[in-house]
Amino acid sequence: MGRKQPIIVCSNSGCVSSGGIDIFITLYSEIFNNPNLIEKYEVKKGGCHGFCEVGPTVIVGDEKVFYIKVDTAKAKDIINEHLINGKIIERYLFFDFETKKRVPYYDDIPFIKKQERLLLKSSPFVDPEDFVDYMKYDGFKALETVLDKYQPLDVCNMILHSELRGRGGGGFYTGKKWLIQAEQIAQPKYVICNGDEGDPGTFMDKYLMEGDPFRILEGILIAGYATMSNCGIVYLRKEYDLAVKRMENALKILYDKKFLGYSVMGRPFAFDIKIEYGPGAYICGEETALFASIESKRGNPKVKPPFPTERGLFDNPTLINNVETYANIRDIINLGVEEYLKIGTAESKGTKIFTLSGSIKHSGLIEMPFGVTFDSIINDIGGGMQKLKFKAIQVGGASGGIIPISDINEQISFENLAKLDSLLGAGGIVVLDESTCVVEMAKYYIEFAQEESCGFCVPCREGTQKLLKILNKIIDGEGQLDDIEKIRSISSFMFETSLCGLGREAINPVISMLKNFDQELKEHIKDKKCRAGVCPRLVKYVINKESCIGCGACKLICPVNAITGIQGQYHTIDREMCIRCGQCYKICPKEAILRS
Amino acid sequence: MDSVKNSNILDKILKKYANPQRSDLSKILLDVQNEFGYLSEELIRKVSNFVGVSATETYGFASFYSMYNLEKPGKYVIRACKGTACHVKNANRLIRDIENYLKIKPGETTKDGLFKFEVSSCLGVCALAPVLIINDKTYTRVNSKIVKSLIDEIRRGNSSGS
Ligand SMILES: Cc1cc2nc3c(=O)[nH]c(=O)nc-3n(C[C@H](O)[C@H](O)[C@H](O)COP(=O)(O)O)c2cc1C
Ligand code: FES
Repeated sequence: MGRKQPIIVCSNSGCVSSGGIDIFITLYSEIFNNPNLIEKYEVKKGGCHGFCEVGPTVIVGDEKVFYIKVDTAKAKDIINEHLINGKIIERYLFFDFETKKRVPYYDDIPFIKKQERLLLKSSPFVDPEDFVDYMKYDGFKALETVLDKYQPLDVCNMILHSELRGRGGGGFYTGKKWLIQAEQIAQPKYVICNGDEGDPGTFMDKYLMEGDPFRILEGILIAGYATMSNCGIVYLRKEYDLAVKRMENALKILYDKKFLGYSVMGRPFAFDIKIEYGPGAYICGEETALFASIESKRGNPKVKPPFPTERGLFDNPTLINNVETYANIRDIINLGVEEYLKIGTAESKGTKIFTLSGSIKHSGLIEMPFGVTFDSIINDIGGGMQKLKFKAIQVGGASGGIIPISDINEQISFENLAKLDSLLGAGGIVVLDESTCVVEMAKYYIEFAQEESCGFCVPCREGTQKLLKILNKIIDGEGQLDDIEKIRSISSFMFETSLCGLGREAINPVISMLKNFDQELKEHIKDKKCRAGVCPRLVKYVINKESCIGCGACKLICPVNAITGIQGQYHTIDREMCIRCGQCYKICPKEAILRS
Repeated sequence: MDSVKNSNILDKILKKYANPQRSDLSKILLDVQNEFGYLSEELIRKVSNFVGVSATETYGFASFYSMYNLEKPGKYVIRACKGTACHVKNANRLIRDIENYLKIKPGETTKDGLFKFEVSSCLGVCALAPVLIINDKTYTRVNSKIVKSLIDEIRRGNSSGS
């Protein structure tokens, strides 16, 4: 009898939230109770395939038939029609609007096929809770290699030569950090994995920790060996409850298997890893504030230097890297530095995981080598826009910029984004359509920074408040041309004098608005006009007599009863009463409501 | 009676920390909160005494972070996301509608103690925006109608039950 065919149910939080567990239970019990099927199939959980939008998904067999939006009823159909009768169920497959065809196999789904994956390659097929399954896919091969073949400093040098740069935002060369940490003599030396991930619109760290926890831990172990440190800490947000659960489970297994503890894999290397919870403050993603929170202090950042590798957690040497940075380590060792260097651009090596969301057809998790263009991410992989026309891309979360359509063919890399006055940040990409107002977006980010500022240093605390005030004034139609100059000078003051990255980088969305959307900003100030129709004070709604059929839909939906009219005759909006919520505009079946 | 029982429970938790360090504060507070649901003034005072810091300092620490509840939370905690992905999918309106429906602002609890409303800056399910979490269950691609019916359902379940 041959090997059992896998049936894989995605079990990351996206799919779980839409019923993934019930599907797993249904498939499992149906197959368990059928002697014929149990000989041929095994049901298991898988990590994330990134195409969260079509979840929950089920992948059947070695040929990987890909069923989308599965529920328990469909799961039963999969048992009866596919497993028992051997027929692929057409109607549950992904429909490709481009070719107007259903796509049966996972590897042919355009969203997946167009990606070039390294870190996420095996994760969809590996059970994140199962050590044995992880081992089947080269698990801990890299750790074993370094323990047996390399001296700690050799490993640091390998990472240095791979030119790996930190994925947590700063893009600092990881190997350099490791070498400095390795030189430190004070004990204990800490190795921290930063999984705080607070940037709005970003979720790759969460999905990595949920979907491939052993990979992260393998990376941390290798870092521990290379830098001759013994205390590992995974720092993650308590809100990420599934990630917490998966990490706890993985740690427990690694202790049981003696992959952690006084003698890792039976070699003379001792290493412990424990979990610390981020108590919920964006600023605690910043390394020195993160240390403060573990030390039970308020999360106020400290001036650097001294850098964490010299004086970090409890004033001891501390290496801190991002989750995705650690996820790269095993592949660098397994592939070899030479091969790894072939991926990416001149100054940004390897691949990057991006989270794609917003007004795009296909959202989810994607991985591409550095150097990929925005165009290829949005149009090839993301399948283009949902309904309205493309306007801009927000990249890098709160520290990133707003990139206009004219830059759509630009490459994504550390060096190129810096040129565009943006930052890569953690790699969150939110696609914006015409219905987004750039001024409102800039305000949104400043408001975020203002709320999340720890309030410790003046430039950040006062600067964000002042910027917010000015932007609100402009949105309310009371902006003046000299406000632009004020925004500029406050921003440069914040950039030069803020204590930590929060204040320094908070201005990026604003700066990119000034640079790329000058026209739109000036329309708000001079013409008192918001072309996206978002800023409520700057739009007017009127009903076009000619096209109104008097259906009364607008009258019904208006929350302040500002619309009057008799059934069958044209209606009117009372300008004074109207709160410009735009609901009538959206509901009108005849497009008779005009916005200006 | 009740307070005697409570102080026994507290003693049990504190016993786990034989030699309390300043840096144990966060763990002790979390343990206490997990048991009592929130950190009342009295609990904060007792824990501070135990660790050897002033109650003001403990309060300043706990209030800095969203993880600690300083007031009794509602039975159901509704967390709406206002992160970028949700923001561009009209999370603003959703949040406003929930405020109006529950008649409370973010951070507040309804008078009957049933709901606490919170707003989060990203719940990490951005691909399925807008997102809402009620206690441990995540709801994706929600709109005001769905949320209202979820709230109604909870209200119904709680008025008939007791
Ligand atoms: C306000 C602020 C928030 C940050 N948030 C995070 C975060 O959520 N995750 C992260 O890995 N790094 C974050 N960082 C960067 C960290 O301070 C640190 O540079 C990073 O964890 C180093 O890892 P890397 O070299 O692997 O990128 C943040 C920085 C600042 C200034
Ligand atoms: S932006 Fe709402 S879940 Fe991330």
